[in-house]
Amino acid sequence: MTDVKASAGGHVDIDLPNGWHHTVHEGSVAMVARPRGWIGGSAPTLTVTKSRTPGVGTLGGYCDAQLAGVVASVGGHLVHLASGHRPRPHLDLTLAIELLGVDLTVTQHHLVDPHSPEGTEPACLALVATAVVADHDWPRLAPGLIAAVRSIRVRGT
Amino acid sequence: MTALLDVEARRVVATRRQLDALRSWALGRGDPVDPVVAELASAGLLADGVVHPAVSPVVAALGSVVGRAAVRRWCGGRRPIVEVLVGPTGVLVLPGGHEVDAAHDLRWHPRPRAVARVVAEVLGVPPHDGPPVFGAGQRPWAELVAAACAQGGVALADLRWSTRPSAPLASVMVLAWAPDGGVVEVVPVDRPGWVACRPRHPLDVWIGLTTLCRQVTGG
Repeated sequence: MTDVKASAGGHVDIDLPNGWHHTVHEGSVAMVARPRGWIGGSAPTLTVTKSRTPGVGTLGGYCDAQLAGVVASVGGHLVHLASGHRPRPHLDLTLAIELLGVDLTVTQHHLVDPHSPEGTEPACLALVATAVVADHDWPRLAPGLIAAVRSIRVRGT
Repeated sequence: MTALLDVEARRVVATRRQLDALRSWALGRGDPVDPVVAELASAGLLADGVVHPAVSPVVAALGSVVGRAAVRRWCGGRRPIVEVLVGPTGVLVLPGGHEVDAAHDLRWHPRPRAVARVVAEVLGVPPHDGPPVFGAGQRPWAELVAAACAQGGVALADLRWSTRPSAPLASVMVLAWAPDGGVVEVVPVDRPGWVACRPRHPLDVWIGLTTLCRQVTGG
C-alpha cells in the first residue's frame, strides 16, 4: 500500500494569457512515482492528483467534462472509456497520444465524488491516478499499471 | 485521376501509379514524357523538376518500408483496404484500396512508433466494453461477413501484417464489434471456413496492437 499525501498545499497564482480560463480548480499533485533504475528514455510515471470540477454535479457530467477537456487539449486516440457507480462512482479512461515526439499510452482511474447540494454550486471532487508509459513499453507494463491506477482509494473506504 | 497537393491543409491525394512515378522521379529514374509525370507536375507534386518538399516525407516513407499492414474491413458492406506502411521516416497510410488508379487521401506520421495508434485509428474499434457482438459458438466466417455487410452497424476487420518488406501479409488480428462495443476476436477452428469468437476488452486490443508494432519498430 502506498501512502497518498497531499503536497505542500497553499494557493497558486498564475498569470494566464488573455482569454484563458481554468477548467479544473483546486487541483493538487498528491504523488508521483516512477520505477527505480529505469534504463532508456521515456520512463513510465504514475501520478495521483486531486481535483475539483465546479459546475458539474453528476458522474455523467464529470465524464463529459473530462472527455471535452481531453479532446481540446491532448487529442489522440481514445482506447478505452468506462464509467460506473460501483463500488464507487468512477471513470476509467485510456488514451494513445503523442507528446513531445513520444508516442504514449495514458491510462487513468478517476474516483469521483459528485456533490449537488441544494442552493450551492454543484461540483465533483476527484482523486485521479494516471499512468503514462511509452507505447512500446505498454505491452509489458500494462497489467501492473492498470492494476495500480485502479487500486487507488481513499484510506478507510 | 488528378493528383492534389494542398500545402495549407497538409493534404496530398494521389494514386498508387502516381506515387510510384513520384518515387521513381525522386530516385532519378523518372520519365519526363510519362503522362503520369505530367499529372504530378500539374498538381504541384513535382515543381521545377523536383519533388515538392511537402511530399518528400511521403516519398521517403515509400522508399524505406520495413513493415506494412493491410486492414480489410466490412461495415454496411465491404470497405476499401487500407494499407499502412512503416519505415524509419514514419508511417504512411494509403486508405483507398489496392487498385493502381484509386485515389488515396494520404496520411503521414513522422515517427514509426506512431504505428500502433495509426492502425488503431484505421480499425476504429469503439472504446466501450460490452456484451460480445457474437456468442462463443462456432459459426461460418461467411456468417460474420454477412452480418457486417448488413446495415446493423456490426463491423468486422482483418488486420494483416508483415514485419519484412518482402514477406507476405498474414492475418494477425481479426476483430468484430457492434457500434457500442462488444469486441470479439475471431479465431480459426479446426473446421475449414468456420471460426469462433472470443470476447476482448478494448485494452486487450490495444495491448495486442502495441505488441505487434514492437516487432516493426524494435521496441
